[in-house]
Amino acid sequence: MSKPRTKRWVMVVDPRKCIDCKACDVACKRENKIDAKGRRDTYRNWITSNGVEGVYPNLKQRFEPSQCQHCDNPPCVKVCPTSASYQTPEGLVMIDYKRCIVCASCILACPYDARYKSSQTKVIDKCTFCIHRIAEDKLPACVDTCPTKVRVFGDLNDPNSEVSRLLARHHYYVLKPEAGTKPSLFYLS
Amino acid sequence: MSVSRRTFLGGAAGLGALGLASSTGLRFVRRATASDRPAETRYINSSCAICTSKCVFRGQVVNGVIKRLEPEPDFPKSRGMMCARGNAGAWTPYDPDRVKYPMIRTGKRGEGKWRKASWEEACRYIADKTNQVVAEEGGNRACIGFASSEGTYQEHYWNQFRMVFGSPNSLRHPTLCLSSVIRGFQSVFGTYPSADVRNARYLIMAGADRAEAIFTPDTIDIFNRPVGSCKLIYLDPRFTRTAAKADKWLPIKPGTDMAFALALMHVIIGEGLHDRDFIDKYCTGFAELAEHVKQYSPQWAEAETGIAAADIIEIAREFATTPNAVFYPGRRSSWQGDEVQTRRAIAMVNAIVGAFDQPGGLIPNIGIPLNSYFYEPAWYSETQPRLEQEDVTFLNPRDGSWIAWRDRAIKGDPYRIRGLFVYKQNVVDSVPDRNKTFELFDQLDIIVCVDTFMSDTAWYADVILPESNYLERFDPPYLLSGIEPVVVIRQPLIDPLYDTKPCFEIVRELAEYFEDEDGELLSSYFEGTVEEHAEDSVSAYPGALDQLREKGFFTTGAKAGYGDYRSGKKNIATASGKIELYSEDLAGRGIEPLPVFRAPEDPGENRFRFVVGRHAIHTHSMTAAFPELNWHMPENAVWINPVPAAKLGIKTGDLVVMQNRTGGEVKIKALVTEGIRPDCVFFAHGYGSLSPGKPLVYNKGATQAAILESHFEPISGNALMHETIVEIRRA
Repeated sequence: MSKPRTKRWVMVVDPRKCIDCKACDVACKRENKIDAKGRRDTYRNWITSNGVEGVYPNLKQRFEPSQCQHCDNPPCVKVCPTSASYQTPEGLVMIDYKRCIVCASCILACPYDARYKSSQTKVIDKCTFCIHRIAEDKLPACVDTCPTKVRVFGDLNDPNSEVSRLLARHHYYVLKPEAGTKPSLFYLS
Repeated sequence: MSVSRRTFLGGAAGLGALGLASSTGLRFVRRATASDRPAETRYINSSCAICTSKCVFRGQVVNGVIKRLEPEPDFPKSRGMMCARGNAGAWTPYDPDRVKYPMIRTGKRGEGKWRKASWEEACRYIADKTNQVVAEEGGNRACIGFASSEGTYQEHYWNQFRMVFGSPNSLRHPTLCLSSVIRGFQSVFGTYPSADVRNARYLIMAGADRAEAIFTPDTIDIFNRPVGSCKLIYLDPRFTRTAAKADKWLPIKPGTDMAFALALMHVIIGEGLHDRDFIDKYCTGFAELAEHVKQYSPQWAEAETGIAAADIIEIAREFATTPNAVFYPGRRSSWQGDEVQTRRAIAMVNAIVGAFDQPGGLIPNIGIPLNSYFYEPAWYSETQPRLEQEDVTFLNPRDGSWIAWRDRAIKGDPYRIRGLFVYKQNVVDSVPDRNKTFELFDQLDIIVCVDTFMSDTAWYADVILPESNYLERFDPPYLLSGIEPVVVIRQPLIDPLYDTKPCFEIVRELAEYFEDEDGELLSSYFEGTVEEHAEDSVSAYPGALDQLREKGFFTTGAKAGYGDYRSGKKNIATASGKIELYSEDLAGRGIEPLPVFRAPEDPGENRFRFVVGRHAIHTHSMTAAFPELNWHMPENAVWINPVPAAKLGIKTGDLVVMQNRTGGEVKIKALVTEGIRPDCVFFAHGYGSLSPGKPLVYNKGATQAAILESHFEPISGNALMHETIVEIRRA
């Protein structure tokens, strides 16, 4: 009997399709019961933009959706003194909230600012790729709700998955490759 | 002693019931219960009420509490998405400031002093006041106005109440929105069609900002496409998200879109790029149009619009030679001056290249015929026409013309208005020039507001009747016509949390306190239940109601095809049966039969034209106080270009005062941005609330209703939102 192949969950992001509508953020907050209570640092995903670039009337604006990159070589896991941050065999970077002592080393170590101290749970929090939804064969909330389907989620170990096919067909990049983190988010270019 | 957790829980519950558990014990028991009992999760499909798109969602209810409104992947119109607003709607039933029971005002209007009332008491109060003023007006039932809005599928009950009560004065949202585009396209094509943007390869869009004014399926079909599969030309004085996504952004001078369209036709016809075959077969009045547009050269248009003649020529050529090109009709069309004629010109650009009844072109909408709701009409021996009957050429009797009507009502011309019954519409915050709305309110003896939350209009009402939230309510089937028509429904995810009722029950109960001319109670006109009406409406389709209950939507699979009008299978619904470029109908009414351009007024030195626009996280004045949306924009700010800002010494974050020409004034923070023309300013709608019932935006930022001057155009009665000129200075 052959052992079932391990999955490798990744996200392929097409920032050119992003219209900056914030559906991903609101869906994430509801799905994961995150109440920001007006705190500006409380979010698991976000859309980066430099605002309007250029001088009127020669303008452009770019949008870059982002979240925890679920790195294959995660600096947050390395610096965690209590092993609260860990990696699953499927490539997800997770936090065991019970073990977190809120030393915030991981916040400093993360090159993507993906983590924050939650005022609700009093521990460190970040994107989980909606692992509880994956277990139910559902897509992460941000992927599912997106009007223009900017994010595509799937198993990179399956050569027939949409993510594999997209990465085979398109040029792509990762954020901060120089950090050597090997992120699981791939951006089409 | 060892006990299994299960046994322990049972015992603990018993202890709790006997009241013997200590406080620590109770806490422990609660935690154990919460972690051990599996969450009971139910999914109920229903449809959104936060904007006009009505997306169907899978409502996830965990232990009786709404957790998520997830997109229903099979719902065709939304292409299986749920926007930020739709997601955030899950909060609305739990809004701590919502209206929880009927209330009667005890202080002055807007003072916020209320007493809780029973439904009976509130209805009796309304009826006593209303019957008294009707008697004072000699039985003129037209002295009560009725405002309502789309969004609920129970508006027809509200309309029924107005009809059996006997007032012609119905006021709906279209003249603050799209009456002019409907009229403009109808006069050319006999219908207001959709654009088949999914199959379009070249798209010109003027101001409709589909990336932020999310409208299904267009927004998805435009932006979720393989990059490079459709060229998007976008005209807007403001650099919107749509501009950011466009292949070309043209910051057109506001009020000159007609000049742009006329010049496109000048080039297309002048260079012989028009579709002769299509025009010969399906259009009338082409010779007149061709002659008419000779005067509108691209060089002329450059001076009017600020768009380079070379760009206009290039766009005209590309548009006429790319198959499946379309000039988007635009829903948002309450702008300036000759608004209907502007929309006519845009319709004609489509017509002369044959962008009609073909892939990527304009496609007349189709529906799914439902049995309409039937009720006995009431008979009154003496009736009055609508107040603004004479002011608008094409006045829709159910929509009215808000600005024209309010001007008449303030003057009491030709008769006095003594009361206003409002259902869901936020009149105070939606109709331009709030001062005038208050001037009207000051003359009214009775203002009734039916709403789910404390809008500014509810705050200024005499009686508030709380409607159940859209997630607590059963609403009958509702048709969304389009290229792919679909019927949607609403069903409760949870029981009503407070003493609220659906609209049908509210008007039926209210009707028990009113009589018609023959002394018959108005409640006798209301029969059946909403469920029975629902069943009846789809009775022609076996199994439809079951599907509606299960999926939240129902479709016959019908889709508007291509070529039905070209083949003669369907008839073009104009008087001539052809696409009318030159309009005999308008000429007969003393209106210009072809669009004639008149330059907009120059704002003048150090003055600005105020432009309106949308934001993807907001629907008009409704959503600014939703916590998850407000988080993204806690306050609005006025956009101003750096060049005039430097001249006025205004920096981002400065508090500024804006004044219009009719006494309107707002204080708001400035946002200095390259993303707007130097002669325009803009701020997002929905902030600066007067009602503390929207605490996050109460007195925070500014509302457009306070700065917009009130103007309307007389063909469709549409309000003109871009006719406001403001001065701006540091506060």
